[in-house]
Amino acid sequence: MIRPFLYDVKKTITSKTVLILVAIILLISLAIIPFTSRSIVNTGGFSQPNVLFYRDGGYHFLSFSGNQYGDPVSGISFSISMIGPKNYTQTIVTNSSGLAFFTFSVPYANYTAEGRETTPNGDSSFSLSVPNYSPGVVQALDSPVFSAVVDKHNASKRDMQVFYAATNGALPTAYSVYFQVATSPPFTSYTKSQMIFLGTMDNYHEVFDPPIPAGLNNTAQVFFELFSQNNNTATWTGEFSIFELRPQQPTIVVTNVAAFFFSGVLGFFIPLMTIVGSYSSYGKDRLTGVLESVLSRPITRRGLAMSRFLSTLMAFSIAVIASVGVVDLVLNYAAGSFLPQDYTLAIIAGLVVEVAAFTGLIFLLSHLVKSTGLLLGISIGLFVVLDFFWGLIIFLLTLLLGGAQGSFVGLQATYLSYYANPAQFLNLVNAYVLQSSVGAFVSPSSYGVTLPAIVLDGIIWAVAPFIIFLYLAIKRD
Amino acid sequence: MIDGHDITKEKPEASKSIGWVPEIPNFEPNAKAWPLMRYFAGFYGIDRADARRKSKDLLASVGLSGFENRKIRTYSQGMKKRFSLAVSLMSDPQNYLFDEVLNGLDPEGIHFFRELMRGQKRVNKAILLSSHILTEIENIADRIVFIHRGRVIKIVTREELAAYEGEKGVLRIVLQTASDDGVSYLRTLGGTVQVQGNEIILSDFRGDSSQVNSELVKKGVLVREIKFEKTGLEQYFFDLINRTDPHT
Repeated sequence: MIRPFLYDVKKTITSKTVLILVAIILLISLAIIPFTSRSIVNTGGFSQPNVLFYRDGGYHFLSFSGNQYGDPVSGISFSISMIGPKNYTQTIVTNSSGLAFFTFSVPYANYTAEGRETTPNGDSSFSLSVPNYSPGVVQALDSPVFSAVVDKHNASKRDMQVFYAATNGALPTAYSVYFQVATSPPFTSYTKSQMIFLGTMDNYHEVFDPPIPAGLNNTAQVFFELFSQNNNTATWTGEFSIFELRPQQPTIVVTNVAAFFFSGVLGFFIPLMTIVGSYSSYGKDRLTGVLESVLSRPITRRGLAMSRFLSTLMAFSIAVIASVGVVDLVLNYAAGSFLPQDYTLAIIAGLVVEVAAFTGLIFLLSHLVKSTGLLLGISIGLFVVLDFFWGLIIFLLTLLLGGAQGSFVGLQATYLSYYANPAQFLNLVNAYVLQSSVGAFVSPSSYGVTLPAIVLDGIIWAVAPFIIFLYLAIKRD
Repeated sequence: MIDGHDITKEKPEASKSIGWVPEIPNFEPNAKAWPLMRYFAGFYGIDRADARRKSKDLLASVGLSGFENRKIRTYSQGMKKRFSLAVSLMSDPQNYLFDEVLNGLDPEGIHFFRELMRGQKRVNKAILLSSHILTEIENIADRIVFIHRGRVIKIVTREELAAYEGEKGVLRIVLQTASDDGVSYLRTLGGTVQVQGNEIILSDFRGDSSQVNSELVKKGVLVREIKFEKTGLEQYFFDLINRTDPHT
């Protein structure tokens, strides 16, 4: 007796349709990934404009346009206006190195420089008094020589971008960059010998990846200094907190993300998958008479009905457990912590109740209707009402009870309605376990959500449709 | 009861002892024959290796070699019946139930099933063949159960049927010319006489046709042709239901 039963279980679990549906459930569980994204990278963005300036028989500007990774961007329109006794404006498009060279052959005077960089993502502008440094001495305008950019290969890291020119705007090939990490105060600049060589400047613009050790405390600072050849005094220095180079990930509250995902995504798809799977493993075979070809083998009606039910339940329960496992792993990867064990078990139990309820309902329905079309139609209708339109039904119920959405009456109607709907069972579990709903803190017990009530409701939904189905399968045919 | 097992109370045991081939086999249309055979083999406790071998052998024995990995929905009606037969042979049961298996089969298929049933008979297997094709039953069956309006009205053995056929039939006589004397004589023999010109058909005739011929000649009636045809199972059935239910 047991062998044919197990054999049918194996056959159902390994059927193509069930395997495809299980694979779909697992794929859906990967949809948690976007919910764990913490948007630390503004991909496609532009770094702030970098402008160097020096005087030498006129006014010279050198600008660099780059993306968030520090890669040069050509074709960017850059305008600089000299506002003084007379106004002068030049607009130059950056070359393949992201550079634009400006020369204003105008008399020395007090000027204000106004610049505007026009990028596909918008404009950025600055306005500064033009300093009167000694001729030929290069000065950075508006932006520092050192600036952090996103590491191309690891978005959680920042690299160091250096934009500089030698005297009179020459290539800074004689310059080198050093860095040092200071883990505790006092933070003072270092001498060249106290620092770690990072690289040399071959161009006006370079990006370096400083090997900053992991596990630094929050107060650590990183110093960068630019040295000209044979000079132990830094030409330019930059000081960064560790957060600027190793930004901390925003904290993810794993249970909140998981609760939203389980209720909103898995809780939505699991009933649909179960309906399709139940139709495929039992409803279709029963209504097309295919089951008779199995029933003529040495197996009882009860045995066949139970084997099909249990195997469908088992297949989707395994899928649910695997799916929750995948979600847990993704959350652990993204947030560094697994879901609390009791919460995970509660969610699995809630999803298994949904699977059992819908499996039982579809199996049961297949004994009440006469055609596959009708069974499919009713099943899909059931799904649409219980999953899609339940909110509308609650809204109307709330209005009938004289309450408003979000009011005590509204919340009470919502929670009580969940007891009557297996597709919303997970919401009850979530509400009870997390003590919250839709972001608003509530006390579930005051709305009728208690552990005994949930357990009883779960047992009823898991068992009642199955018992009725079994009765029909044995007695009615 | 099947081999001592109550089909309602001991369904698995009873099912093991019977191989069923329905009139319209209805298998999972998207299943392939060989895997489906192996699936069914599992119900009989046949291990995997045996199931593979046996499935292949049985499919070959019913003429489905080369079609093992085709989906059932691509099979013709006859192929589905052959497949169903292969499945029913899986457990080598002592009993078979062939339900109108001959319906819709081509002559080759009918021949195949007829020979298969004879083969199974030879190895002492019991076959319950339900059919409306009485000539086939007449050719194969050892015992015939007549069911009319859901009720068993008669069970006859092959010997009883042969005896019935031996003494009763239709006598067809073609005279040289129509003759009232000849017709008058034939009416004395009992049965029903139909006259169509010089042809006379005497139904329910019991007797010796050569003696009828001699008597007609003695009466000066020239006989061009005389032929006796046994009544057959069909007529037997009609007679039977006329007796049990004259209003039919």
